[in-house]
Amino acid sequence: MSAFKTKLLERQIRKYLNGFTISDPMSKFLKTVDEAYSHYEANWVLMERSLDLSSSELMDAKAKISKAYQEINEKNEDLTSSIHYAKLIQEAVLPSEERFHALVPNSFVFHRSRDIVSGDFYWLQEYNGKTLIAAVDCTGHGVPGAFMSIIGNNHLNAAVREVGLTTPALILDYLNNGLTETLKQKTGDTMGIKDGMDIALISLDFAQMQLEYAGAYNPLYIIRDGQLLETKGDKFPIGLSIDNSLRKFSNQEVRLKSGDMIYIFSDGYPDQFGGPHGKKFKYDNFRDLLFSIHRLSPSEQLKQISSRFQEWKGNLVQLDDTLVIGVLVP
Amino acid sequence: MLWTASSGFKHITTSELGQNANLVLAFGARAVVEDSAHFTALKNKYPNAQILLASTAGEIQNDEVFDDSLCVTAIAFEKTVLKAVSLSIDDSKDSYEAGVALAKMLNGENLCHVFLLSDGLHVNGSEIVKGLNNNIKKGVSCTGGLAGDASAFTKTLVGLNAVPEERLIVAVGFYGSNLKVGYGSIGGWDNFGAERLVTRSAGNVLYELDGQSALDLYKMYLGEKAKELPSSALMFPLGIKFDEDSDTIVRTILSVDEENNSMTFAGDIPEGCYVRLMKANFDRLVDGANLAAEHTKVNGASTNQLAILISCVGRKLIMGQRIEEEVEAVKNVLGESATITGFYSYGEISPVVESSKCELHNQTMTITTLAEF
Repeated sequence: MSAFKTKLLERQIRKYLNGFTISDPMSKFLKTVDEAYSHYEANWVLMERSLDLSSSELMDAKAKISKAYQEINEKNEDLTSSIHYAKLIQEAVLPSEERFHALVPNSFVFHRSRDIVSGDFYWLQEYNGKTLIAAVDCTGHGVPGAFMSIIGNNHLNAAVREVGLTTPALILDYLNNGLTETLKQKTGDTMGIKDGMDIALISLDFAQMQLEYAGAYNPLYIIRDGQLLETKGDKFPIGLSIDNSLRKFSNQEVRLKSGDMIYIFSDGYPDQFGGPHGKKFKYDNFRDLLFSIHRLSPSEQLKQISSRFQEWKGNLVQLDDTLVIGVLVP
Repeated sequence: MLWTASSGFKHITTSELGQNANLVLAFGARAVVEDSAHFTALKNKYPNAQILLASTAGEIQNDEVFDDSLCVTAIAFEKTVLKAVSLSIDDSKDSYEAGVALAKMLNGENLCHVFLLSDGLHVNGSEIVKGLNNNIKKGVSCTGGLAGDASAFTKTLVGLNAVPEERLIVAVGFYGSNLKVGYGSIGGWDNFGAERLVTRSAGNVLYELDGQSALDLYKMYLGEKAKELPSSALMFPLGIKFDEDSDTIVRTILSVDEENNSMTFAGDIPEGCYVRLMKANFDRLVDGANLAAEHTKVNGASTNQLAILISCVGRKLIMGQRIEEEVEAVKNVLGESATITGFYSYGEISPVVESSKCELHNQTMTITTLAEF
């Protein structure tokens, strides 16, 4: 039977001390060396084993993550495909750009969705010789925003087509009541959905050179003879109201002049982060931009607005849906 | 002074404090410290001293590590006043209250430091420290450790002016403004493998990680060595993070309960925390000891200091005959003038960094330096 636990020590003794008589003190020393060899050998085996086990555990975990990733991907594809289909429905329900240009020839619409479907939408109706245009910004974006856009569009259509309203303030009151009722946003109803819309709505009568405007937060800009005239909206939204009977939208009239450039918009453009320091574009820059391009043709203005937006945003994500509508008074 | 079975008591230094000593630290193997003859010998030699005794998993004297010995260090503080207190603990659930009681017994004018020795198996070290932290005077540092029992994990003993016994906690308060206290505590273990969520635990008892039995996981990793549980689990301590941004604190196992399929650790393992197994890297363990010694210099004295080294039994088990390298590393930093004593423990107590509260650690080299000026 071997005197030592480790083969390494036996081999070394055979090789280097072969034939020597091992004295008692030497034997004691060699036993200590043997203990050390044995200790490190056992540790080495343990560490190798732990490395193998943890590698295999990590590989198992990786396999599980890959499987989960695949499942998420498949679900994501299903979801994306559904949302793309929803986009088709949204496009079918909301007015097309072709229809917009057919009814308002000297105009542009800059509409960039943050997601596949949008919470910003434009609305258009022609009734009794008046052209009604709205730039609407539903709270939220993506799918919830898109649902809101369909509801808003339906109420706006009903206000004009079913009730016969053409006064912007009355249309907004109708929309406000309709939306509140639809979403059951009654006072004290804490289970109700707290969603709403900001909006700028204009009624154009080019025969009379008359514009009427009503707004929920979002203003109207008219650039005339080198001056930007701002008409502010009411400071409450559509929906989310405490008591609709106390909140009536105000109607404002503006006499138009040939060559006036009219703008209505959502807050997506001025709120977009970007530029050299990743800051908001802001309303000052937005007004400067409109002022610098207002003499260009509407189609050229659209190009400038689009390229400036992309340039400002750079590689940052788009914060919100963005909508800018411009109309040149003939 | 060192006692071994072959040589009996042997003086390491020439100075003989005798009646002048007011504090004696005696760290020894369990069988040695429970031999009443040794306590009697110390009492006769140092009649005026507070005598603290603890069983260990290895004794440290100067730059050497011993087994089955009794390492005795007698100290004579000239300007610092000492107060030693002790209490028994019946149930580890009373650990927090024990910490509170110790703080109340020691709080007093000019209290500047507390050194604590505790039973290593029947307490929840984290809770003692928490109770102490929450009740001790602000600005008072606290260091110490849990007694050991080689790699047996059977019985740990602590004593104050008497033959040591189980379930005892002893603390010494240092009072005055002429004491420099330094401390440092560093591990040097590496995380490895997957991060695991603590899904079932109660205090310092761990049942499940990621919904699976934690004990089974350890057995899988230990293979043949599972037969040597709980000591073999010291090869793979747990690195625990209490939240995303916190430092990793190392926890070692104290016992296993096959019936309940659970493992008891030296400190809390709260549900919802993430843990990873840890493994040793010899060089990093020695570097850790070196760094702990460097940390003591922040507040400690530069010469003629007493250094109490409390290092984890897990380090000793894994490093085997190379264990003295970590003590040599400390000696190199503290210098020849430092008097070094200490022991291998089942848990170490020290603040992590300057001005932070003390915490229970495992698998670290924890150093307390004391010097009067």
